[in-house]
Amino acid sequence: VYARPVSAHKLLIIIPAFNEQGRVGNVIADVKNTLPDADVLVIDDGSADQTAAEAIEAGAIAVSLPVNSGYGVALQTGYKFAARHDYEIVGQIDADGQHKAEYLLTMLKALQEQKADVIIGSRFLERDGHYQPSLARALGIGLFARIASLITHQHVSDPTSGFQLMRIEVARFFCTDVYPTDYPDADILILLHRTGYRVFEVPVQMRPSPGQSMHTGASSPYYVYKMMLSILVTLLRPGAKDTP
Amino acid sequence: MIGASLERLNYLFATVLSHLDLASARSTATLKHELEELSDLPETKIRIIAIIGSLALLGFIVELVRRRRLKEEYSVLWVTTAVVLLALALSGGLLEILTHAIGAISQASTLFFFGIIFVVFLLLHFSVRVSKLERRMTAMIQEMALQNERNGPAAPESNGRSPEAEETVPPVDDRPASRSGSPPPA
Repeated sequence: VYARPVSAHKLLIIIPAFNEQGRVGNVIADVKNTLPDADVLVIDDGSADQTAAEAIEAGAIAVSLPVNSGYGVALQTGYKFAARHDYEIVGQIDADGQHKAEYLLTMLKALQEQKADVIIGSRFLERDGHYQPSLARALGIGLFARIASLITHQHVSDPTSGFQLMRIEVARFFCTDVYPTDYPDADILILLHRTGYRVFEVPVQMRPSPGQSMHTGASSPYYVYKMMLSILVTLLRPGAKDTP
Repeated sequence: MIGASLERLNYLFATVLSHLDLASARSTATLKHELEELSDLPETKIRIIAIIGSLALLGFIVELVRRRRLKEEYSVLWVTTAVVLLALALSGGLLEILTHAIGAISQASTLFFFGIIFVVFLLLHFSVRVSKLERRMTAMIQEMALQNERNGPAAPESNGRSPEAEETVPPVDDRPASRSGSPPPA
């Protein structure tokens, strides 16, 4: 099952975008240059600008949420799209151009060679990254990376990364109510681990962020609270791979 | 004759006097009794108001359900509350026992205590409902979006969704046959 080669048009790259006019086109071009055979889906999360039009212009498929619903809802919409259209591998990349699409190749390779279900592009796996988070944010990410590492018995360095690649089984799993649409983050790694999916990290380098990210800061008190609670209830729920 | 009538008058007077005396004695007793009852009076008043109030609440809930303004499903919590209130109002002993049990001094504070507990539960219930609604709404938003996917210049862009795009393009069913998996024409 895992050695299956990725045939053309079986790879979907999801780009959740909220008011990313002027940036999302470049990201699509970047992805299409790297993976000419991949379909690109932009989920326009109720943008007020021309994000969707720009995405279509750049050759992507666009899906527009009628109201702004947040990063998690947008992502899940992408997973639903992938599940319905029978893609085999689903990737996700931020619309602001922080992630370099070239790493999708490394991640794709890792997904197939490591017999993994999910590959996460980590900004911290190699300490030479350009990514310099604020102190509070670094503390937040560090804390949850530590917690996630402890629970999954596996080194997790970047639980907040939005740069991921997964098998369709995982995307289908994410289409259900198990997916925390408000703040998908470290709790997802723990959920995946408890469900029996294999998650691996691959080092990636980032471009400096041009603006504020779609990910609400890992430093906000609500984020810390929500993630703690989410991790706790994930652990309290029956685990095992019975849901997918 | 005169003596007899005098005697008669005297008797009458005495009778009146004794009557008066009796009357005053009786009124003192009633007054005493009433004074004793007076201490209970506020409780009685409260009880009457409580009975009327809980009956009115119960009637109002039933009426709301009858007019389909309140779903039966949601009425459960309310009807329970109204019935409990009614039971408390009808039997003074129950409230007394409860008051004693929670260590309250006044029965009114017992009522308030349970009233607040009820309100807290009701709010929690609503939060649960809102969460459920939100989840369903999210699914609907996603469904709407997925039903309306657009790709490539083949489909006329911006079917009037964003206010900026005032190109007066009429809404077109832009779901061409080239859906699944096909690469959008660049």
